[in-house]
Amino acid sequence: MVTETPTLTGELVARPTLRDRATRHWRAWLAMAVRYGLLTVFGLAFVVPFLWMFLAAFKPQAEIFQYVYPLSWKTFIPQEWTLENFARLLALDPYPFTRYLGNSLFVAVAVTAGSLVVNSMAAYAYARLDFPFRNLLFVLSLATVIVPFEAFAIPLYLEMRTFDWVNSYKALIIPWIANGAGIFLLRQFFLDIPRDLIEAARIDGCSHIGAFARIVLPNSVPALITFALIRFQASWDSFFWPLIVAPSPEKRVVQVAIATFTTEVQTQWGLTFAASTLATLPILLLFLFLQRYYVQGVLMSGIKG
Amino acid sequence: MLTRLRSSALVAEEWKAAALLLLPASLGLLIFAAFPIAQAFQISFYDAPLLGEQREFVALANYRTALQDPEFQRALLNTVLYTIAVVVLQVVLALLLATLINHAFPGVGLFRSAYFLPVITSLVVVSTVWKIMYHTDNGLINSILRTAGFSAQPWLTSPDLALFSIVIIGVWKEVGFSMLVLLGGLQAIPGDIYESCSIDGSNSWSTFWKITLPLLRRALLFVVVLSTINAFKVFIPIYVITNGGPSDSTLTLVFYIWQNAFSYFKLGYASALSFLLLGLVLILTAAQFRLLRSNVEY
Repeated sequence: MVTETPTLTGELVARPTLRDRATRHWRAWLAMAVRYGLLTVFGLAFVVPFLWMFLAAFKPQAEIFQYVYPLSWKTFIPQEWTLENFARLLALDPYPFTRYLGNSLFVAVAVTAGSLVVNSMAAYAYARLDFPFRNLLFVLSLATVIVPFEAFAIPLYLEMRTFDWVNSYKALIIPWIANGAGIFLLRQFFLDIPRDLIEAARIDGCSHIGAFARIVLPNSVPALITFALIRFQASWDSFFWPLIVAPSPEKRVVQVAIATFTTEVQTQWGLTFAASTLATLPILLLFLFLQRYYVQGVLMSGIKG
Repeated sequence: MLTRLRSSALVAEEWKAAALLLLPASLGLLIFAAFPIAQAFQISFYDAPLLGEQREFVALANYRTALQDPEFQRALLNTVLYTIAVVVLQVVLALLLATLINHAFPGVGLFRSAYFLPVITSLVVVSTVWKIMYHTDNGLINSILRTAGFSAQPWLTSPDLALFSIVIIGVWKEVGFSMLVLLGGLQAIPGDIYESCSIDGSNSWSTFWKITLPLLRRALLFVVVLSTINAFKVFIPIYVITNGGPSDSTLTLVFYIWQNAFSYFKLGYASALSFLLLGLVLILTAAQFRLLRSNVEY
């Protein structure tokens, strides 16, 4: 955190008179007030929609739009608290909403676990092993990152049809395990692990794979958590692919389920708010506890990348 | 002799380990990325319906159709306008927020988390909530406007306003991410640079333009390139909120590709459009790298 401001160091130049100091003091206060004012206005713009969504989930259907105008505390706080929206989510036909939450959770956990294993293995080979065509292979796997998924979603869908994977968990999970960006990110982390550490393990009789499992992985836990978070969120939020490849209610994921509520002719806003709340809370909690890993990942990719 | 034998055994062992470690990821990328990408290129030269196996080779006809298709042109125009608006607003706002928050003061963590809330929320949920907030009669936005004495706006029903309404959502969702990256960039600038500036007597405005911005080049490049690529692929808000309307005013490239593939079942044409998308994304990225990398290196 940078605590010095340019104006504070100005005192090095000339000895300030009493009046200068008073002006500066007053100015610092004004700057602080403006800073807090602006930050609060923006903060409200980001927080209010969430508050509205969470609180509306506890309103009866009739009350949701009743007090929107004129703006008052009644706009947000339910007059009559109810769990009826959540109860109706559990009684949905043909599957309760928990089925969609469960589908998403299962897919996200499987993608995350698979990604961790497969991409860290490849990343280690690219970071620390020497073999023919290493750079060419690395560049090729990176090239897959540049192509937008939307550009090859159609043939991938056709491939799923050939495999007979449409409307299956396999189609939701397996194509997302190998990840070029992940290989790149983890390789960056692994390059920071001192060579000597690996050499020592090798001299002690470890195989390459043994050194990877016993030295590199345990020394990269923060990096692995960062990567796991990124993959989990990407999978939990994914929409385009599940919409195409697994539209059946049985395999429907939570984001597709919510979009289905929203785009249906007879829109049920109470249900939509309750469903959105349930789909957001798990991720919110996850990030609350693991925030610093995520922030670290963002900074890594931005500054070092 | 002995050492050479040993070392060649070691080399063989290393190659074997590498092959083993690389196999799953490479196979995955080959089957689920490289192969479909090649396939997309091939299909784009065919007239291929979604169902039924008969495909007819039409050479460049799909690409020729695209260049004369007024809907594609509309989608391209909308996408370009959307991207420019989102990227400019997002970078300016993120820079402002990062500058404001780049000090130690009570509550700084709280503000940072607040700005980050939309980033960790799914775009489907964000789009759903904004769709309701934009409602002309029952929406929160118009209620705020009317309470403040302004008139209600037809956010999603006016062809002149709808695309801008989607822009606001795009900025709101991702500005926290850009802010975080720029904050990292700001904090990487050594403090003594600012000290020498204030000794030289330059004011904070010119310090910002002459020192901070050039030193932020790398973080800025990252933010601009990433947000451009993301904005160019905008799909979810269109699908959830407007369906491309009213009167094609929010029809975007990826939405049009999706329509062609899964509503009109024209896979060949959709693939040709996908390759035009890929080409545009590559050109844009390369151009931004040139533009932002060219000057001062530090």
